[in-house]
Amino acid sequence: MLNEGVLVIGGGVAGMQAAIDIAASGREVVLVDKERSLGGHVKEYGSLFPELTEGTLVVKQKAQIIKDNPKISVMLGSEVDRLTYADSNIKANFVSNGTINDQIFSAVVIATGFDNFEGKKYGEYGYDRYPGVITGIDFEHQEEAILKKPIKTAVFIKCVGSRDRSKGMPYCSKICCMYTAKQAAELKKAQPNAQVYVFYMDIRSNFKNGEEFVRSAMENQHIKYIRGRVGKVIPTNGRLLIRAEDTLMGVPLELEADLVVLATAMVPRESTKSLATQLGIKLDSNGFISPIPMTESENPMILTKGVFYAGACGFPCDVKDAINQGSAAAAGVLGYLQFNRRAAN
Amino acid sequence: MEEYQKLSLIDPQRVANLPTPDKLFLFLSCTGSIEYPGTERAVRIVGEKLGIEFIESVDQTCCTGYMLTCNAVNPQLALASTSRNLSIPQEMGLDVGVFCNGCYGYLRELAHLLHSNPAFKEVGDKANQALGREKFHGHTKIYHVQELWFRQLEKLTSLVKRPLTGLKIAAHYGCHYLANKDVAIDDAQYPTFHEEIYKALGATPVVYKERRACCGYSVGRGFTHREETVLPHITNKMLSAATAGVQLMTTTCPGCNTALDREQKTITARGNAVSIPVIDLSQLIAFALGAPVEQLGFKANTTPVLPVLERFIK
Ligand SMILES: Cc1cc2nc3c(=O)[nH]c(=O)nc-3n(C[C@H](O)[C@H](O)[C@H](O)COP(=O)(O)OP(=O)(O)OC[C@H]3O[C@@H](n4cnc5c(N)ncnc54)[C@H](O)[C@@H]3O)c2cc1C
Ligand code: SF4
Repeated sequence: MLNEGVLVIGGGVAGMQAAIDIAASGREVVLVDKERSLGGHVKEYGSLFPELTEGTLVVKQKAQIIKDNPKISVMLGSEVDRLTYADSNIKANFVSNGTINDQIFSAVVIATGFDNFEGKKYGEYGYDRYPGVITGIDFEHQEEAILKKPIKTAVFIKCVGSRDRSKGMPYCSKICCMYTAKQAAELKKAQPNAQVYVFYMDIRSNFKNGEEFVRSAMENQHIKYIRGRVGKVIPTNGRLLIRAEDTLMGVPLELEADLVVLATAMVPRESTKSLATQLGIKLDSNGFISPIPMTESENPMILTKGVFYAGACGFPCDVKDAINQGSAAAAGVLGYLQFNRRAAN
Repeated sequence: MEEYQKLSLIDPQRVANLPTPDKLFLFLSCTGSIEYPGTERAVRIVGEKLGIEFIESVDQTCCTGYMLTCNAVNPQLALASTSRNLSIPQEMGLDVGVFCNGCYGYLRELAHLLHSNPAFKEVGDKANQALGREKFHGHTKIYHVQELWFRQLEKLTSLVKRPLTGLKIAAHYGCHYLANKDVAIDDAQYPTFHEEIYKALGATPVVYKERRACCGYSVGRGFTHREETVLPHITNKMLSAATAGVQLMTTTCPGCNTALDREQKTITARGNAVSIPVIDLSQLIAFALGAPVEQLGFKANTTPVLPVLERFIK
């Protein structure tokens, strides 16, 4: 009998969407995530730019659709650590609680998402060392507690890791300008008396309503945007002394803060790299999945026969884009299964 | 625990990996000998107390670092000099102890270049050959005495004869030691091991705001930058120390010491009265271990040292 089972690796928003759209056609989907619940990074977010929709709501809504569709079986706490070709199918190894299982699928969607750049790699900012220095992802995880604790001055530092060739990452992470504006505005809304500064190299808000979103943070929330790099964070008398340069004014600058948020880069996951390599799929020079040229592909998310990808494992993207890619990958999978059916008949 | 101790990132493994030698080649510092001869003496005194004999050689020349910083010599010349200088301890079968961050940084870096690039090594080999010296093989190890002192902190503590109770001391670590992040025993951004040494000597460490600011020496004394650029920088540093109540500052580099000590006269003349004696860490340790003050050469300092140390001399 023709195997039509599909495996979606990664239950972030991209993988959830792919599973939903594939199962809507009546195909069997296994959606696997190594964590204990679905949603990937987004399940921890308070709100999403630019509409400020609650991240948890997006995840809940998709999780409900998945729950309601018996064609999708969800495997949580299970990691795919090996993919191999088996005739015209793909064999996946699942590791969960130390036990290994394998199963054969006709198609696979890789939706393994991204990892966070280690803030520690910038010793001068003292992440993981100086109390009060956190990353953007920490901000999302601890938002409630952060917004409650009285803050006089907060400083956001953008492009930490991204666009820094000396750290091996020449690329722009694309979304941190947006989420920084979001976090700064949330902080200001919760604590209107706080002074909130954002240090930037550029403002890249190329999303629908993106420019307006950042403008509103500046103009309505009075977040102070300063063009320049922070050179150093120095713990001083229980606070954090910020040494920076205002390159528009051409002056060095110093201020004391209680909170420093590093907009760390989105980086490829090790597991993406190893799964792709096992199937002979190319990675770009930064370690993200490299798509095949547009002129050679019938579907934007196809990588090779029966293998598709979606979301931030290809490159940093926002939630909408990740969801769109999930749908696009599903379309590719369905077309592929249909083609196989016809060939079998 | 104080704030600085909580933030400490001293690498215990790197400290443990340091040797406790009984003999070392003492690499002399030009700036040290000219500006503060007491430093070299102090290094020998502390070494003696810890059982380290320092051997020197009249054949040793400048580490060339200063020349390189100021772009005064061709790098090839520096490679040749380094190769020759390091072939001397190699011949004696000794590792090297330096007491200047500049010597430390440049010797390490140039030795690394010599060792890792055959073309550079050839420059050195040719120089040694022409001078009838053995080729430099690159295995000689280079230590800064400050780390060797810290390695034997317990022993130092037990040898203290003049506990510096109540003396507020602050550190200037110097860029050229900490910038060697792959070998330095402490973290470049927020080092704390000098503070640990002060405590061992009975003194009170003071952490001042500008402790990591550069001394301004190599750029400051007329070579590459103008006074208008550098003086405000050093002024800022020293005033920040004064505000924190610092009574004495130590360095581990005669270059840093020169800038921070000598420039106080100019800073004061320009309207910011400041008087914080600046001495070498080895001088401080030697003093605490009871060395005769006359041997420590404090007369060479521009900012008087004895007013703050006098009360510890019986
Ligand atoms: C600080 C921050 C704030 C952000 N804020 C916003 C915002 O406000 N609005 C917005 O639109 N976007 C925002 N984003 C971007 C958003 O996080 C991404 O667009 C989104 O997470 C991408 O989804 P994904 O499914 O591709 O990846 P992920 O969310 O990373 O999900 C991937 C999933 O795959 C699983 N996985 C990985 N490898 C394996 C494996 N081998 N086996 C099993 N499971 C595996 C992981 O456990 C994870 O659950 C933000 C990003 C950051 C860093
Ligand atoms: S999106 Fe903005 S903050 Fe992020 S790397 Fe690009 S320019 Fe920097």
